[in-house]
Parts: sequence; structure tokens; C-alpha cells
Amino acid sequence: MRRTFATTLIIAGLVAAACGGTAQPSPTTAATQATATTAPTAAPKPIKLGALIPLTGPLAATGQDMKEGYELAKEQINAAGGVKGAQIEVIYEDDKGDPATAVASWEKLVNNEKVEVMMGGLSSTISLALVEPAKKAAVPMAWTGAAATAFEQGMQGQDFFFHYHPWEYQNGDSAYAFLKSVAITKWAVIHEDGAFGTGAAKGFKEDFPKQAPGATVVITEAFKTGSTDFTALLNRVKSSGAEGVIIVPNTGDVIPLLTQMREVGLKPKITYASPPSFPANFGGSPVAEGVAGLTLWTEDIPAPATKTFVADFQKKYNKKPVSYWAPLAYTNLVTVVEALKKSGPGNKAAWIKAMEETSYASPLGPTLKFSKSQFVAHQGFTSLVTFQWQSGKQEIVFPKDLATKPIK
Amino acid sequence: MEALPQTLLFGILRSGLYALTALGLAISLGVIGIVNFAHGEFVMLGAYLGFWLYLTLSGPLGLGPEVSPLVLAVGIPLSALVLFIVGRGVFRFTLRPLLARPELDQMLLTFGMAILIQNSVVIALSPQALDANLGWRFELIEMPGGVVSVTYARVAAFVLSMALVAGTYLLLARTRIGKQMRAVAQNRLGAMVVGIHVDRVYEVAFGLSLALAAGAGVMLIFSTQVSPFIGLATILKAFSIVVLAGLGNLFGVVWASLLLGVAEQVISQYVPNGAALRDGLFFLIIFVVLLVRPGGLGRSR
Repeated sequence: MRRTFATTLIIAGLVAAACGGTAQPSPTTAATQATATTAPTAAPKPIKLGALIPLTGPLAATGQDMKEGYELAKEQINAAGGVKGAQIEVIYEDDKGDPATAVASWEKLVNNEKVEVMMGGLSSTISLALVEPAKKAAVPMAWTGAAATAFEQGMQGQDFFFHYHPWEYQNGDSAYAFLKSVAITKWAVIHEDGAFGTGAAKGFKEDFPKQAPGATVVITEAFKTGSTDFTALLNRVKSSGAEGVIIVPNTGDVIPLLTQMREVGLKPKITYASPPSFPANFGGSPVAEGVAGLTLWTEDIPAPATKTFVADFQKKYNKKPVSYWAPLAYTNLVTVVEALKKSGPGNKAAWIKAMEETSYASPLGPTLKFSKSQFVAHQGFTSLVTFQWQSGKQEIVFPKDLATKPIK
Repeated sequence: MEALPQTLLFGILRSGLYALTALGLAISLGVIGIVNFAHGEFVMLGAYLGFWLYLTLSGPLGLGPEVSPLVLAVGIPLSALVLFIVGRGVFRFTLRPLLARPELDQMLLTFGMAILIQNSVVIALSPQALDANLGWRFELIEMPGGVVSVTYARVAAFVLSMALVAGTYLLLARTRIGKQMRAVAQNRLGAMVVGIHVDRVYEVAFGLSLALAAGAGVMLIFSTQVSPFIGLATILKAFSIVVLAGLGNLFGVVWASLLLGVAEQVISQYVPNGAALRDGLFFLIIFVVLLVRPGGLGRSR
């Protein structure tokens, strides 16, 4: 009797788990219905644009941020009359942070929905899986994310491909430029021992000294991500005499590492951290003060377009954008539509030409123009800014012309 | 060698939580004879209870990051009590029916339980890791001499863990239920003959094992992020400690934890790139001990 009861419990749990997994609302249908009811029937046919972003799964937070950027841009574009009177419609597909799902969603948007332009893109792993289907479909592609050079190589020679986020090596160059500007010659590199940390650490060890004559990496230490104790390795760093510390941790390692630096009395002149993202509410923790890092954007970038974007975003959502992915997605949709206004729908060659002529004072700060990068012909943003946590806020400290505060 | 005192201090402080987690595992193994693969997940549940308490105290009650002592003082007994009750329920409805079955069945059950618990938390809450902005995570105690300073959290976790371990030993040595547990562990049949209600003893022992896990979980939020995936790292270390102490040897757990905690620290400090290698140490120990002295170092053959 008891055994039966236990089995029932377990089965009930499994069923609950299975239901939980499938009960996600479908963003596509929601978006389609919303536009279907608002679009006036007499107006020209709406123009369909596809956005492939992670709305659930481990990258969901960033994907949701992007969606809010797209929705804000769509609302403004349609309110201003759309593309020659035709409303635009953004069809979202959830890649779930999973390459196989992403490929299926890609096919759906391209073949079933017959979208005009494919937008979105966040993770490099997913974008790499899309190289083949993208080349086959040859549908206009305005891609926000994926920094991996392998993906750039994959898209080499595809004239319909436009890329917004800086590439990996451009991230590196931005970091080295800042580190060079700091008057420190002895550096320590502390990194997590996975692919992410090892790769980035290699760049700091090999490329950075080449670009900054005189700078040396005196010690390199690896650790297992998720370890709770880093005191021994931090002690070694302390006795190495390094004046500046570069850490490449995963998000969860940031606070333990910085706390334990204080425990062992490691007080470098500058601490430069490049986690995939900083922990939520990191600014509120006492260890944040003085830590520098790299980003594409902060809300305090002194550009008029940034101020307008942040104000509009706050008005619509009653909160601030979580990350730079919201203004990046916004920029993505606005520039795609600007080009469509010039080319009209269904004219790929004209759209590519119009995109090539893009010159857009973006809310990210720099004016967006597409130019040749290492492998592709149309690369948008090429550099990132360095910020420093000061009194709980991210203040831009480098490059000087965008700085909101001097470095401490 | 000037870092040696500090190395030893951090190693010793770290061993407290190890001992607490491993003792719970050793009880379920030594008394009931089951390998509880889900032990780490119960530590995780304890951590979530602690985190919830931290949120409640610092948020709605507006106590801010100064709640650290309160989170420990209320959180540990509270989550221990909750998981003691949960543990008794889990034992009664899932493990007890399987006790007479082959050990493999029990292992499969606890393994499945681990997966079920972890994913239930992912679905019910979120897979995202959380950070507790607790004052004690960051505030430093200056040690005499000024050579080294440690956070309040680190010292508190060691002292409280050791107190809980000592309390458990007292319970086993002095109380009626403790003596019954040891009797059952020594000879199940003999215990039955002298009139001990074996199933009830098992149930209490499993509850106790989870209560210890819960206490360790609450202390964990002072040193690391809380996520549904912290159970695995916890249990791997606990297993190697239990193996080193000798499977089911309840009293060997403390020195085995000390040995491993200090060894880890020494390796990270003095072996090049040791911090990345030190987790391998645990597996090397399991391997060697099982090969050379399968009964554990603490037991004569």
C-alpha cells in the first residue's frame, strides 16, 4: 500500500515537472494576435520582421531585455507611420538558448512566416549553428550578438549579413586600450579554468603585452568556477608583487573572489573584471567599489540619443533597461526599418545598399556605420567602453571622450 | 613559508562546514545503510530557506544587511526543523518500502530524488543564481598580529558547524534515541531482539541527517551564490570525507574533514596552479583509500 503511494507521489511529481516545462506562453502567437487586432484593415499589408532571441532558458533575462528594446522601437516606428504607411510586425521566436531549437525556429521564420529580414542573435554557440541555414536561405540578416570570431569566419563573403556587436578581438582591443592607459606594468591574471576563462586569459597573457610595451603578466592563476575558497591563490598573487589584477570569473565567482581579496589583504591599484555579466544588484555590495570592467553601454553615456532612449524606455516600462542589449535591439530594428524605407519591401539588393549607407546616431553612444572587419564586410560597433563601479554606479572612465567620471 | 599560519587557519576554518555536511551523510549511511545521493540537494533546500529568511528580514522588515546574526540564529533551527519533518516524511513514504530491496534500488531512488528536487526548484523558482547581500559576508575581523583577517561569516560558519557536530555527538552518546541509533547501526537484528523499534529509529536518523544538511545550507549563503545547482559540489566533497573516515564511521568525520580542508589549502598555496587542481585531490583520496584500505583510514581491518 505504502509503496503504491510513494510511486504515485513520484509520478505526480514527474507529471508536474513535465507540465511546467511545456506551459510556457508562446510569444509568437501573442505578438501576432496583438498586431492583428491593432492593424487597420485598409492599410497596406504589414511588413514581417523576424527576431530570434532567447525568451526562456539560461539566457532569458538578456533575451527579454532585447524584446523590450524591439517593442519600444516598433511602437515608435508604427506611430510615425511605419514603412510608407505599412505597419511593421516583429515575429519573435524563442531559441531557448539551445542550438537545435534555434535552427528549427530559423526555418519557421524564414519558410513559414517569410519574414523580410532576420534580426536578433545573442549567443555565439547558437549563431554558429545558424551559419549553414543562413547561407542557404540568404535572407537579409541584421544580427545583434555573437562575438565569436568563428562565427564571423562562417559568415565571410555573405553580403546580406550585417553584424552589430563588436567581435571577440575587438572586445580584447578595447580592454587592452584601457589597461594600457593605466600606469601599471605588473599585472596578475586570475581566471576560471573553463573555455571562457582560459580563452580570455590567453589573450591577456599573450596579446596584451604585445600591445602595451613594458607591461608584463607576472602571475597567472586558474581556479575551478564555483569554488568557495580562493584565499590560497590570492595569497600567491599577493606575494607576486602584481600592482594590477585582471580577473576572468563566471558571475557567481565575482563576489567570493573580491571578498577574499580583502581577507588576504590583496589591494591592487586596479581590479579589472570581465565576467559574462556582473551579479544582480552588484553595485549594492561593499566589494564593488573601484572594480573596472567592459561594456557596450551604460545609461549615463553622454549622448542625446541615449538620454531620449532611456526616458522613452522608462515611460513605457516604468523601469530602466537591464543591460546594453535593450538599446542594441532598439538600434537593430530602427536601422533595419530606416533601410527598408529607402528600399521598399521585397528588394534585397536595394536594402543591402541602403543598410551600407546607414549613419545612425544610436542610443549606444557612437554613430552606427557599417564597415569591413576581419572577415565580414558589414560590421557595426567596433569598440566598447570601460566603466568602474563608483558609489554603487557604473561610471564610464574610458575612453576619455565618453567618460562620466575620472578613474579612481 | 610566511603564509603558512594563514594557510592552516583558512584550511581549519573551511573544514567546519565540510564536517557538518559529511556527518549528515555518514548518519544515513552508518545507521540506516543507504547511500543518499540527494543529500546535497537537501543542503540546497536549506540554503533556499536561509535565503528566503534573509529576503524577508532584510526586505519587508527593513533590517538591511545587518541581519546576519539573526539569519543564522533563526534560519538554522527553522530550516533544520522543516527538513527534519520533511526527512521523516521522505523516509516513511519512499525509502522504508525499499529497505528490504537490493541496495541498487535504494541508490536509484535517492539519485532520482536528487534530480527531482533540483528540477522542481528550477521550475518553481528560477535557475538564476542569487547573492545574499549579508553584512557578515564582507565585514572583516582583524586577527591578532594583523597578518591575516577573515570575514565574520567564515568564523561563524566554523564555530556553528562544530557546535552542531558536537551536539550531534552528544545526542548519539547520551540520549536514548542516540543510543538506539548506535545499537541499530551495530546490529540491526540484535536491536530488534531487545525491543528497539528499528523503523522509527531509522526515520528519526534520516530526519536528523537532513536537519544537519539544512543547517549547512543556511551557512552556505554566507560564502557562495544560491542556485539550484549547488548540491553536487557539496555532496562530492562530503562523499570523499565519509570514505576517508570509513563508511559509516560517525566519529571519524571531524578529523577527515580537517585533514581534507587543510590539505586542499596547502595544495592551492604551494603547488603551482593548485587551485584548479585541488578538486582532483578529493577523487584521488577516494581512489587510494578504496584501493588500499576499503574500510577507511579510521578503522582497523
